[in-house]
Amino acid sequence: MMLKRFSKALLLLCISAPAFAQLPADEQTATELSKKYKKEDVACLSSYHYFTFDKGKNALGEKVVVIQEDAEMEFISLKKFATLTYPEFYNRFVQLKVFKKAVKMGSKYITSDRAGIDHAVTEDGVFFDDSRVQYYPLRFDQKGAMQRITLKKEYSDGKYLTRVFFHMPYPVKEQAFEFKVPEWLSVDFKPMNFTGYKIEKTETKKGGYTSYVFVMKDLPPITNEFKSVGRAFRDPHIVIQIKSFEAKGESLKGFDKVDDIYNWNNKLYMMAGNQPDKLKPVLAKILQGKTTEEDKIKAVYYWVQDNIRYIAYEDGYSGYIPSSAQDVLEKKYGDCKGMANLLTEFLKLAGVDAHFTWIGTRSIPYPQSLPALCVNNHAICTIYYKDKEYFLDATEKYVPFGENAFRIQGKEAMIAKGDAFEIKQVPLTTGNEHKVQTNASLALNNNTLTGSVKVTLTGNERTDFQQEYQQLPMTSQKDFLNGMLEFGNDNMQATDIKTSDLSNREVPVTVEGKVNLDNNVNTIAGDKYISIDFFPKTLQRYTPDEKRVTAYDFDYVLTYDDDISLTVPNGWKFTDIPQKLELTSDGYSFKGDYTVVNNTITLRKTLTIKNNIINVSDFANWKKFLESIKEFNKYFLTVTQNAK
Amino acid sequence: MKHYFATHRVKAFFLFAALLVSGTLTAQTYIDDGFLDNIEKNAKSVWDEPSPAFTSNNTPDAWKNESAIIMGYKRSILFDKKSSGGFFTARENSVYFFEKVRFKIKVQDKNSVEHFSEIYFRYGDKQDGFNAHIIKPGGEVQNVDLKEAVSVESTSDVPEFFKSFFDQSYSSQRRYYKVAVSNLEPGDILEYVANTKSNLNVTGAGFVEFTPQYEVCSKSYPVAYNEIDIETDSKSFFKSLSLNGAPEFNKESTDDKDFFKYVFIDKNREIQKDINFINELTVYPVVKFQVIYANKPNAKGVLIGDKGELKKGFSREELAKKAWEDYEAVGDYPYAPGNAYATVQFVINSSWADLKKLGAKEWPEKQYVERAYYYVRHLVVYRDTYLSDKMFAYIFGSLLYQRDIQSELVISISNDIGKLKDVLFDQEIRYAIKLNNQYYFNCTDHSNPGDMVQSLLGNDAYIIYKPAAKTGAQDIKPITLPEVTADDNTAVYNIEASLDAGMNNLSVKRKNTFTGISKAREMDEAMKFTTYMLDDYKYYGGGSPTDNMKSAQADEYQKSTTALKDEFKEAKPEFAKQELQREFGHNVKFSDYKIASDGRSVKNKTLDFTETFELPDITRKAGRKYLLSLTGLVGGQLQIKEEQRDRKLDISVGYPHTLTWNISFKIPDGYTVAGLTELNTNVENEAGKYSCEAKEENGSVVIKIIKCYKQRNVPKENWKNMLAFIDEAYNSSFKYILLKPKS
Repeated sequence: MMLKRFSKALLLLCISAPAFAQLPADEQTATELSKKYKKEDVACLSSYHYFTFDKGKNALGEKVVVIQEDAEMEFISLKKFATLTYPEFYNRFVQLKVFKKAVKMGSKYITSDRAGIDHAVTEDGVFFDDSRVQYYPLRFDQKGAMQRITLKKEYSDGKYLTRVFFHMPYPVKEQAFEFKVPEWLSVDFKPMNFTGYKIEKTETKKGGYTSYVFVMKDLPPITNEFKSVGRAFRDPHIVIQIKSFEAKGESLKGFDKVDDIYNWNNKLYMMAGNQPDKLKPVLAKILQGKTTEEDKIKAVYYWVQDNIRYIAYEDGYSGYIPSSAQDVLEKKYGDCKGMANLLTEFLKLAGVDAHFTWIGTRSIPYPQSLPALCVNNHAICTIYYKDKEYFLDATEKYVPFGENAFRIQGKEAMIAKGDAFEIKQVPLTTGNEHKVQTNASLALNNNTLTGSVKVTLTGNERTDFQQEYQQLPMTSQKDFLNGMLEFGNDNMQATDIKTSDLSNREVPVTVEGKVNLDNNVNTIAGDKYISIDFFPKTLQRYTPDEKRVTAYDFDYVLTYDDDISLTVPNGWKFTDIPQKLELTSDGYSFKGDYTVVNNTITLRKTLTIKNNIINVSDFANWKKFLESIKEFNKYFLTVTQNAK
Repeated sequence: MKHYFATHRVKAFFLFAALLVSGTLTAQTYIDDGFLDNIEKNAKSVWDEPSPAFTSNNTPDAWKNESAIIMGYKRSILFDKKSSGGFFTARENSVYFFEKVRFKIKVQDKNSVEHFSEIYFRYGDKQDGFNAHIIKPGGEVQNVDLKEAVSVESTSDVPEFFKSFFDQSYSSQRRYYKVAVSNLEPGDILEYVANTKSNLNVTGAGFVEFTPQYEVCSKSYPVAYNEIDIETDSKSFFKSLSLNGAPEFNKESTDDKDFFKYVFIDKNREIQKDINFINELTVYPVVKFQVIYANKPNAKGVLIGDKGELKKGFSREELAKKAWEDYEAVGDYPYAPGNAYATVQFVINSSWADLKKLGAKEWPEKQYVERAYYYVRHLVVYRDTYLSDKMFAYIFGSLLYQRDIQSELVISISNDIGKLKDVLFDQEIRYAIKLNNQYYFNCTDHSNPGDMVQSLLGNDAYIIYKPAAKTGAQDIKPITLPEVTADDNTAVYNIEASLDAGMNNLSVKRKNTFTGISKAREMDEAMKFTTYMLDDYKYYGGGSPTDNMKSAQADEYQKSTTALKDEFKEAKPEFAKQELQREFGHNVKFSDYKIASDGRSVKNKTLDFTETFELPDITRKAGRKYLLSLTGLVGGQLQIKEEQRDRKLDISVGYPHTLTWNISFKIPDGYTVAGLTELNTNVENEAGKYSCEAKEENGSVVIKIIKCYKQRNVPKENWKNMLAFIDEAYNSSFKYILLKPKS
């Protein structure tokens, strides 16, 4: 039975016999809210989360703080026909005990018998985990109709309630978090990004408890924008830090200091159960013929990159305890923890000063000084070699020793050293270390441009190329290389491709070949009009419109460096040479210049993204920057005959 | 980002939304230890079967640069209504399927290693078996350990080479597991065997048709050996047809006289590369086949042969008889899926009652036919699925019959499936109604009586009549369905354009007019977010839905329609903008969208709407001069890449049609224009045409561009004719005109 692409008409079928009579409980409220949030269908009138604390034991048998969350959200429809899907996530550490939907009829809420729809929500790239969701589709057929969600969640170990955000995907009239803290518990609620927001905090003591209440009003919905900087960098939220608690007269530690986090991480790391002897036969083969320490480090690092596939099992504590090194080696797959563990053990056996390391990628804003589990989301290996730290990320393929992926640059690494630990920062790099350099030498033959192009990639640009190229089917690799020289221009055809040694990840990647470009020369009234500036649309997607509310995060820094020359036949000359353009600001710069020598014109163009973030406050300047580049890109060269 | 571990558990709402849309919900429980005891043992019988095609670990040198090679792929399915094979106790009300699969692939690069890093298997019954191993280049065999297998939540995520035939053919939701393959590296061979048992309760069913299979011989990797064995008992029937050079199923003898075996073997099959203008099933080697379980040897409404016969096609008498039987049964079908209470006949009766109330008995015949058609269309507007051809023909034909109008029933086949002689499945039969010299094809939300359907153009067809009651003799009249020409299917774009004072942005007012099949293809987009459904009743002469409503109900209806209109009013501009941006590959500032004629009536079949928008930053500079690509206003044109210029397969254009752009560009004050003569071109041959005529007229540049696909099908030998005008259209779309300042 073929489904129709459009069946909105079906809505009208229900009209003559409404299934149930939801009354427009507060149409006026809906009208007011719909004026404020014109694009939204549903708003939340009140969202109240109430957290209570108790004592219990975790799956490892340890005494821990158990947290219960009781929440109630009341939704109102801002349109006659409106839907909203309300999801609630849970896993082995966070149990969803109660999840109910109720529909308001008159002045009363009638609770639905139906359970929420349950699904796994394993992310792409994770083979297996325990993440699940229950959700209710909330459907409204009246403006002002109301529905309510109530839920009860239990955090079987308080460590896993790390933070709460105020903003939701829908507008919220009032968002409140209340924490009822007993006297036996020491807990801290760290405000994050509160500056600029009106968030009311009250503290009340009563009957052996202290209640902390955080209330924020009139919250717009969170927006999902292209290349947006992460929520944790911009949206107000609270990080919950259970510092210590008393149980039967005993004072037990939570996460009060960084040491506590380290001790917890290290305890789980030690549970991996490594058996280094089992690694020795393979290691011996890897190190065969390697005499210097650096050669050994590279041999091991590259072997793990090339031979261990990323497959993640993240079920319960297996999301935190690394697989044993011997298990990862035997299976030839693992997640970041497993790979980091194997790499560390290999290097230790090879005599290298290697250490398992926790780190948060750049998507996380928190420093290691914040004692919370939300600080780190990744595992690598750190080595000390020639009085310097090197950070080895085995999940990154084709990375040369000594270089780091941008996603961990500038981040603090927590390096395991037995009972102690060390925190070191992964070095930052500049845009000049990650280059796409294009050299093209073209000649005009009738109405076709022919010549040669060479593209050179360094730094992360080289690594990105390698990761994409090496993962392609063999049958597609030639087309990919051709595409490197064809600038995404359908009229360009590359032949006779040569590359640098692509099996060597340490040298810059070069791709060069001959090119033939059609449909790029317009002959009008005897003159020729030609463009040799091939990247007019590169940054178009990063032009913010008036609606954009979040900063851009490119997730990289880099430099495009172009040197493109065009030679025209003797007897022809260039006229109307475009003016040069030079723009510099803190985060980005551009320089473009055409020079003519005899019958050859050369475009030298450099664009550097120095800072991966474009803040909203910088949008006006950024737009001006892009407009100027666009204007520079617009130029066609005019080629006329000398006799004219 | 792949590399995060579990502290990254806070799931964003957007992730959830994305997962719902992309359907990548997966997993998530470990396989039961109890299953592991049996599963590998159960698979042993498949390993033990002699399979010469799987013995060698060598692969052809010619495929050494392929990503992977399917060395062997063998599927054997036994359909059995009785106890058989010694595995179980028979249950008489079920058909059992015993399926064995053996699959062997050499992974030659990291890409294919990644693809086969996770393998899938089914475990739904204690007799099910699965076992996999990898063979290292030196010959060492390493077993794939299943103990860390986890369940898969949605079978839709199970890749092609791991899905049970039964699951594909009967859309069942079985329990699948997936497991990560240890130690798989380029150069390794991965091999697995599976045997599964499924059953289907057929109590009370006269027959069960399993989904027709179209086995296209070429796969995503080259295939050295591909075998399908179908074995049936005497209650099941098998039919198959090989097309375009594919090998045929052959009947083989079996030990049991009540069983029949059919075997298909294909060898050394290369992959097919994607190319333009292709109807896969009419040019690629393909074998189609189907198994039907039937209680009786001659089940009504089913195209089957005799017991044990390998049926490869049907005579026109067989086809006509089965088509008629099937057609006659439609009245008892449920009108909507899952609703057995409202039959098609019930809907016909109530439709006729409605029409009578409107005075249908008194309408002139021509008016009645049109209105009956629009009545059926109105039913379709308020359904969430289209009617099948057969159901449309039955309802429309019945409404004509109610007025004693004698129509004829036409059967044919889609031209993207094959010829009428190639009909093998009753699902392939298309139905239409003929009245006098007019054909009435299945309706859409927007079609008019007599509208042509692309998939039936020029097809062979039969007009079939009711068989004689006593003799069963049936009149069959062969006919050819009408063709259309490029003049019948037109798209005309009248464009008025001008530059802003800054010589940067191009304002465009475009009036779009569509006819014929070109209109039909445009209608869904054009009418999206318009409230055409609200007054659709007018076309059949009906009254407003509010006519019979009480006032409270009418108020509610008004509120609903107002809400719908408001919502569409907001959504339409954004939708139209996105469509234009897709068409031009350029940012668009959208202003307005107006429909002058929606083309939904016989009086005015033309779709006519105007869009007003701006293309920013469209000009290029050369000193003080400006360059502007007006020919680029035709939107992106098809480019035939070098590797596609040597054509090996016949060309299917779909339908002949003509596109015309009449562009009027106002020359900015203070500028003269050059470069018009350079735009003029005309390439025309029997396959098609591209022409461009440009001139200056009353201060404007006037350009007329025509692109015409004259033929529906073009033989591969005439590919050069296609290239001639397609290339010219592509190249022209990059041409500019020059605007020079007068001073």
